[in-house]
Amino acid sequence: MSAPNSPTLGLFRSDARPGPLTIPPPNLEGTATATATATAATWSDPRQFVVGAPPNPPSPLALRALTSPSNRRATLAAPTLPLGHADSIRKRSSLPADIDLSTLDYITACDENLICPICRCPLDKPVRLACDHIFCDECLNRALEAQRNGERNCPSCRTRVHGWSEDAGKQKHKTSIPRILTQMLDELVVRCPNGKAGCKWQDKRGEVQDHVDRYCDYTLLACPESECGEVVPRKHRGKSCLHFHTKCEDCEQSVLRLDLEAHQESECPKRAKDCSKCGANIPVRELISHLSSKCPETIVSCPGSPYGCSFQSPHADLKPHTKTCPIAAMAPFLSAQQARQDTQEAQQKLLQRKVDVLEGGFSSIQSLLYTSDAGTRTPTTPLEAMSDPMLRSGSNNGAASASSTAPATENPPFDSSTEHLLFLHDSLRNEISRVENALAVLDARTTMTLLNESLRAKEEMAHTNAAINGMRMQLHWLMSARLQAQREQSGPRAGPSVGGGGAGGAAGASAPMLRPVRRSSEESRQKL
Amino acid sequence: MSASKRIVKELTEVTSNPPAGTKVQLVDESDVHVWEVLLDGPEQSVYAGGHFKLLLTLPKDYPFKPPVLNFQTKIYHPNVSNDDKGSMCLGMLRSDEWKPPNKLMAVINMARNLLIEPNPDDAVETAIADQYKSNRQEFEKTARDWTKKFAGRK
Ligand SMILES: [Zn+2]
Ligand SMILES: [Zn+2]
Ligand SMILES: [Zn+2]
Ligand SMILES: [Zn+2]
Ligand SMILES: [Zn+2]
Ligand SMILES: [Zn+2]
Ligand SMILES: [Zn+2]
Repeated sequence: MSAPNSPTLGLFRSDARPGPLTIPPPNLEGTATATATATAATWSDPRQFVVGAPPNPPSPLALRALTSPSNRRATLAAPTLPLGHADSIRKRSSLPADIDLSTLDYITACDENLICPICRCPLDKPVRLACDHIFCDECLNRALEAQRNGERNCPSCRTRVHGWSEDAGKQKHKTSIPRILTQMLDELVVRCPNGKAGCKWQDKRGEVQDHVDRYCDYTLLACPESECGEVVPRKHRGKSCLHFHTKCEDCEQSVLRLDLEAHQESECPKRAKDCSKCGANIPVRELISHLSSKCPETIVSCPGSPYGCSFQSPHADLKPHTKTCPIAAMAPFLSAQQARQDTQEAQQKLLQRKVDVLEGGFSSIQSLLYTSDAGTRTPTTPLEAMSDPMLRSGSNNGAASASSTAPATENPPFDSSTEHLLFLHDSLRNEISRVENALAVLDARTTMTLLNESLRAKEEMAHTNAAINGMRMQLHWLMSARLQAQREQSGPRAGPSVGGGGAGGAAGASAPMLRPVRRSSEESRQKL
Repeated sequence: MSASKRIVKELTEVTSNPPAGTKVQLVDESDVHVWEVLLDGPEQSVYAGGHFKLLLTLPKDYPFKPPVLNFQTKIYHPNVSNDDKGSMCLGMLRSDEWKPPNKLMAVINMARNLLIEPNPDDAVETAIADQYKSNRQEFEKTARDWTKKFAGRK
């Protein structure tokens, strides 16, 4: 925790939701009935204590409140302690630590969406990541700390988490949580964490910290004697220390003064009390079991009461009744029957689910079949498909006796779901062989068309080849003609320069020989 | 504290609605970190008729670290080490692939699915994996023999 300064405290203040301060602060002197007016007088404006720079170090309590998850608590609990007094107060009163909400006993069934995927408890201080996954703050921190190689990925989808730091003060990975979520979480009903000690309180989870901190009779507080160091439940926390041993007047056992009343109420072996109903003197240790079962005056009901007998009487008169009551005689049998029925119902539900799944799969396969081959089949098929699949397969398959007797009902009365399944299986098999046939036909057809297509292509190719050949010939003709023309031109030019009359004559002789060639090529061009 | 609460929740979930052919119980009632999983060889697999005992050990920092799965019954399988540990470590059981939100129910289902369809590309027993890929018949025969020999009903 850093040194105290106003910024931190300012932050603390701004965090604090200004809630109505109707609840008195913990009564530190042990008089549990302090009134709100007295409180108001003592701690006029709680926030003034916080805002100004404190002369003393802030109390551990105030600091703890700073880190406290519950903003509400911060407003209510921390500012009520004047900083100067805090140390001495802390010695005398020890508030319980923050409640681990995951250890609470939840009474309302919690929606799956409010459950943290890591601890599988209703979310505690939910944190939302950029990828929209939500975890408890602590669960997420632990999951990210446990990741190796410095990677920080969302535990659910492995999207990178930016801005996370082991130092809670530097964390920047959180995005805002929908208010409805926190409200739903706060409204879950829980039992008081001191339930085992005897507290019967149960209420909204958002209130539990307040209850434990301020009201719960069973919250352990520090003994009023500061030197003692022991703890005492709030309801026994008087003005003086009760942590000394004393002797029980009856059994001479040495008992802690704090526990003396409890000892005398229910544990002392020497102490007896008159039963409030039958008047018999019963040892206190056995009083509870006496009242619940043995006391002749306790009203009990006939063992056949769950099955219809409304007889109720004191314990003593029940025996004669059970001997004559027919329902009581039947009760063991009936309860066994009930148990059997329950298990069978559960099994039936399971089977029903299985059948549903199979039926769904079956019908989806069927619809797939009819949409894929509707085009290739005769027009009767779509009509067939429209009729009840069970009906049709029933008419195809006369072997299944149950369905052929009553094919018109929506759910043919099969003897068992197994038979039903077998039946479905059979019709499925028929379908598959049909598809097989259709596929074979389709295959043959495609092969044929392919063959035809390729034949035509081959023919066309031959045509093109021929055409290309013709063009090549022409090109050849043209090229040779051109070459000749060039030679012709170069011949007369070369002759005079060299000066050989014979050479000119030779060139002149060769030119007329080529003439017809050129002409023929011209003719062919004109033909084209 | 909350970790063991989660484990207890998962345990009740698995024991009250176990995946087909499995049974889960604690080895020692006082330790929720060691589960015994009894797995029947799936009908459609070569392990049909076998009864396999698996040990599912949850580390101290579960669910932040993956659970450890060991076959206590000998099994001929490319993804199960053929030693006295019989460890199966692939997919989500790898520490780099494990996600804290994963459920143990899913782990048990994965083990069961691997009996139906081994994953030879991610094998610990490479020899068995090669056989699985190249000589399926021989693999199936050995797997059936082992199942009869080591995982038959007792
Ligand atoms: Zn959590
Ligand atoms: Zn995510
Ligand atoms: Zn309480
Ligand atoms: Zn004391
Ligand atoms: Zn006594
Ligand atoms: Zn009585
Ligand atoms: Zn009766």
